Amino acid sequence: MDLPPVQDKVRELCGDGTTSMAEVLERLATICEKPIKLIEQEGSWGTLTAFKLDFEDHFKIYVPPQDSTQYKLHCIYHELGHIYLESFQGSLFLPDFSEEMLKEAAGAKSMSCCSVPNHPVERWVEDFAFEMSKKTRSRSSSNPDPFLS
Amino acid sequence: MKLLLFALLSALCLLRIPAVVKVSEARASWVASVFGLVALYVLGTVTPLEVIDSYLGGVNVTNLLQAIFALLAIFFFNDSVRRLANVPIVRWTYYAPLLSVPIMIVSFALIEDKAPTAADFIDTRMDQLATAVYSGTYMLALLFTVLRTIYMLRHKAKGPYATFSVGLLVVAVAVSCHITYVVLFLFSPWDAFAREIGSWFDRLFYAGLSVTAAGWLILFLSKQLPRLRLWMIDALWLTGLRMRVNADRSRVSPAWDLFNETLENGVYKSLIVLHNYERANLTTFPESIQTRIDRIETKLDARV
Repeated sequence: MDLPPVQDKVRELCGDGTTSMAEVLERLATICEKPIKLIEQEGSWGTLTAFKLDFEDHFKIYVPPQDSTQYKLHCIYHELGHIYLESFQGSLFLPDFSEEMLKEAAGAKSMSCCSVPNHPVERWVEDFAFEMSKKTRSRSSSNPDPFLS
Repeated sequence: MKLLLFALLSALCLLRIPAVVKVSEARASWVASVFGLVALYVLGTVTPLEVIDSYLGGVNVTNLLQAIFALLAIFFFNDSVRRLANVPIVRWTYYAPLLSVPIMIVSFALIEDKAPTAADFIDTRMDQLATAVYSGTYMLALLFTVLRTIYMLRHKAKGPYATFSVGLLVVAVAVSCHITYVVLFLFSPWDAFAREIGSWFDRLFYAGLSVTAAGWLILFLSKQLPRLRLWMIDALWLTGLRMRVNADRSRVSPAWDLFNETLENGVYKSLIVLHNYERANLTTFPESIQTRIDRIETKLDARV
């Protein structure tokens, strides 16, 4: 699977400067032409860290409320990475569910899944989340070279 | 003085390696310190001059190499200052000092009776025009680069940056002494007076460069130490924890993150990896570890 360099796509999305979660949500909503809602969902999450649902007219991203702020932001950026990647790469059925699979799951009482660990898409969105966290934290972390700062 | 300069440049070279890996713009000033170190080495600071020169034919090629490396060191230092001052490379004058290198090589080749190896190689052959051209060209290129660097630093010369300007001014005076020596020796009958002026070169040149290198080191430490104090222990502890619990697919990843990322980003990445590990294994760390992770996270939260 040929995926574009994460840093290039992050720069394309946010430019060179710093950004915030609100700005990223706004830009992605413009690109995808539908709003993105963030929801903290109580309950047992098992090994899940977050998930996104794609509806006709909006996206929903669910995260557990008990996680730390840093981890929650990271997991949200991870899911936003999926949305962003699909906006220019088209639907990526692995490790997401295809439409047919979702239809099969409709009405089910519960659902479990096993996805390919270390899949390129997962690695890409995880790198995306790291890059985004740097951009939201870079207000405080300055250049590592003091001679250039 | 040469040994002090060698020690300062060695410390800078080592301490700045992480910055060089992470930021491409940091490389010019690092390359400058490496060339400075090589120039000092060729000068016989560590290994005796005679030993180094004997490998190169024993005809004082070390003198030529020392001049070229010193010029390159000043040139790359000038380039870092240019970046610092946001001065674009537009004028042909930017590379002009490097044009002196072929002139120096040719004039050096034309010097007669170059053997034996001697620290006063230039002084004892100053009666030859080739020596004057070789030495004069080298000094003019240095003076040009140093003055241009001082000019570019004019708006930045405050606090620790002022030591750069002071050091470089001393270097400019040293170089001017040598140029005066060359001109007076060639075109006037006052040879002794010329030598007297020329004798100031060594003292002033290395003193000036030492002040500049010390300023560089002070600047580095003044900016890095607070950051190191804030994150270093946490970064090392989290990296150790990642390794201990096998939180990563690769055993190299934790160490690589520590080296490849800034300390703060490294701490952040470690926290995420450890949370992923807890979630994937449906486990939680013992209370003492969890408390420490929470404390680090709170510190990181405060910086968002």
